[in-house]
Amino acid sequence: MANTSIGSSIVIDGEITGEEALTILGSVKGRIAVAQSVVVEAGATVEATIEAQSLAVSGRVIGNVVARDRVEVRPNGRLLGDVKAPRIAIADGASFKGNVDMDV
Amino acid sequence: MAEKNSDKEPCLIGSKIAIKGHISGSQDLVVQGRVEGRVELTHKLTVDDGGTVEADVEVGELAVRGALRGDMVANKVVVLHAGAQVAGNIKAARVVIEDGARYSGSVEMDVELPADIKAKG
Amino acid sequence: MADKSLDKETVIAAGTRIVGGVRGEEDLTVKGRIDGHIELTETLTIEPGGVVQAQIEVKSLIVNGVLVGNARASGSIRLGEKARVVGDLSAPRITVAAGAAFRGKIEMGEGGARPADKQQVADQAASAGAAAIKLPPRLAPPSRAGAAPTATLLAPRVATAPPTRSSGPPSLPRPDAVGVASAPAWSKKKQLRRR
Repeated sequence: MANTSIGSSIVIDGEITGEEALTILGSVKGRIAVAQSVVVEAGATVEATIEAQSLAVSGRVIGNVVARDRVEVRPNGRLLGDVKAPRIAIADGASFKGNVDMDV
Repeated sequence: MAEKNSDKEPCLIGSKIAIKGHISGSQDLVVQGRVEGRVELTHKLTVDDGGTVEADVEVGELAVRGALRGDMVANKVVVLHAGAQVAGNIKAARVVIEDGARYSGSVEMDVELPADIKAKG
Repeated sequence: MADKSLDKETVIAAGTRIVGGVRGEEDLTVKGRIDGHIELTETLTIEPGGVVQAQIEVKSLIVNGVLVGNARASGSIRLGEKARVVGDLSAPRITVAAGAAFRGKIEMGEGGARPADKQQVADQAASAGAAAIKLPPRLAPPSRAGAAPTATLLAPRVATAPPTRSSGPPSLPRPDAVGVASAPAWSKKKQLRRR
């Protein structure tokens, strides 16, 4: 398995950068900048600015997001922050607060 | 035991022998007794289980199953076997510490690190 | 994709880098890079290709990659054959495999390696400075002037001398004075005897 996975009991305070996809079940505070997808699973907490190919949120995210492809806030996902991405999907049951910028 | 140079028997310091002073030579040495002072060998020093060396040691090769206290320099390899009780600094091309050996001190080997990592020291 | 094993294992993939602090209550495997500090109640594994430049406090540590920094484990530390390590290691059990390259101090505290509750970690921290190695009676180290304070175990001290050294004026030109600078405190006995 080539991807990076942050387990549910892991707390990271700092910066994550990389070429690989990133799955977060734990807690990350700081900055995330990856070349591929970021998945914030249910139960995960992210307090960071995020730069990624795509972002899917089932947990909680506080921070501004820039995605080159898409941002998806799934049911029960919570996103608080400004989002810039060509495609944005907010599912029924998700909560979101922030500015949306889809202009490419 | 499988000694490489069977034509050249190792020198043995038996369990009832204690030596104080400077030992040097170009023959393997096995210590089952007690040595205090300084040991300089071109070949291998073995401190057997029950043997005690309290000395700075400069050898080709070092194997410890007993007790050793002192600074150790080896051209080739230092092996601390299970049961060894060792305290002192080690400088050697290769160092092996087996599970069950007890050791305290500093180890110095050449460590090649990636170019973008700087080791403080 | 998201199978359940994800829940149990944390992997920092090759090509991923974390700068900052990582702590947690599960195993962590590093194939990429972490710079900062790591605190785990379980096992940290640095795989071949993995690079960690950090202060480390874990239950156990397995190194087959690169580690620069001081590490303390309440259980064991194992340097595998591909390990490249510069730093000070402290754990009840430490093994160094043939092929491993290492520069730094090794402190094996008193035996009885058990997974840590907090008190134990604190106790070990306190006793780790006391180089509790069992030697035959006549080899028993002289009582130390004072164990190194706990805090220094976490401080980078690869190149620094232990705080306990200071027998005799530093200006005294002794031939072995330089080499002894980073020696354990019991070597003081040797210096005294030689005088």
